[in-house]
Amino acid sequence: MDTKTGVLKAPLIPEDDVLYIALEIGEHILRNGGEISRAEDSIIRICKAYGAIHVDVTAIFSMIALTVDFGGAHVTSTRRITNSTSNNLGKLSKLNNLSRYICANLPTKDEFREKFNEIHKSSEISILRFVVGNMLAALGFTIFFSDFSAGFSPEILLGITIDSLLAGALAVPLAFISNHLAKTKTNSMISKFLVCFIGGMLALLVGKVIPCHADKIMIGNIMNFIPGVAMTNSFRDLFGGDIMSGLFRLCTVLIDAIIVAAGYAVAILIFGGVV
Amino acid sequence: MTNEIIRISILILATLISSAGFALYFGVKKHEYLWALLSSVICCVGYEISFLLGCGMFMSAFIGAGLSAAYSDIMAHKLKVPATMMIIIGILPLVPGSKLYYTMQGVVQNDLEMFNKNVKAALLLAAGIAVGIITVTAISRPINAKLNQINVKKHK
Repeated sequence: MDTKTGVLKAPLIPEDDVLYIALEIGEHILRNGGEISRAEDSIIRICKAYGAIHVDVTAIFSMIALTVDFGGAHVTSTRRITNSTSNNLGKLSKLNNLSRYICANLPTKDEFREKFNEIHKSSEISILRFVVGNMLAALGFTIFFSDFSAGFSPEILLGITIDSLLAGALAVPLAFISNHLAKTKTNSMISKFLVCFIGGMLALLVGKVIPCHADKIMIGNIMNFIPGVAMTNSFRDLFGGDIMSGLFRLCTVLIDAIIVAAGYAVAILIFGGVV
Repeated sequence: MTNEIIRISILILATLISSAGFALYFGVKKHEYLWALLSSVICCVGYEISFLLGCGMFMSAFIGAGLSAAYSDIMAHKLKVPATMMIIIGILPLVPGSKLYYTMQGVVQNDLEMFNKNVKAALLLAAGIAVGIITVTAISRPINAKLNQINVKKHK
């Protein structure tokens, strides 16, 4: 609607295209680590920028339902979100900027697709980056969770250095396995259990061969599999009033944590329950 | 006291390394790196100093996560990035990975004392993080809404 004259204006592009653009942004915000409120807010802003008078949107972890009133007719669309999330925070930031661009420039569907595909290509995380990231995370957390109560003698610091380097080294095959399982679309719970089990077995085997603390190595690697993003977003969703999504994500976090623990537990049990 | 300073310095170094790893595989952009890493350092230092001053695990996690969330909100506004990104990297040092591991070990080795101690610690840490983030979000949302209104009026 034109705010000065009060006359209803038709959107600059077909209504279906507006919903498509809004839902595409909303879906990928959720897939890449965004909160429910961010996805809904972006969808509302985009639809209103294109001339919507009233927008009803409900997003949960697995679906977005959208009804828009352009003054002439109500248009409804839904989008089912499958369980594959990537937590690409860099892409989330770019989607945020694209959302602002859309509201300011009102692109057509084809123009939007071009910009969206550019973001998709430029935000891909290479396997090298993924592996190095996992390695640094495991290395850092092994040092972080080391026991400093006995002081900082050279022997203790050497021991911690060896543990952290071994944790970093073990993170490399685990990252490759995890990446491969994600690409083959293996069930996420099974793949998480498998990777953690293999991680536990490798750490315990290394502990038998090289004098090190296998438990510290496992702790360093466990941090790569703990669902930190889902945990943070579940709190923010719960507080933001999205009780259903918040509880859904919290349940996912608890189940993931149990699966991660179970993977390592089975490895330890195979070694006689002693670390 | 010297020992504590050395310990916190090592923890800060470890936090920087691990957060850099997470920032890499979460796809954080290069010019946002340092700001995201600073978020995790603030969280770590906030937690450690609170703990040293006698605050319990929950309170220390609340303070650490709260400081990190406040910093993340401010920097997210300045850099025009989602606050989520910085908060996620920020709270990583507090995520109870080691407590989860020792809880599991307590179950495997039938050590009830280890299980109870670490389950309690994991829950306290998780609750502290949650309340810290929620408290800051509750305060920052109306402030951000007001700032957005002022920005919109300025541009009109």
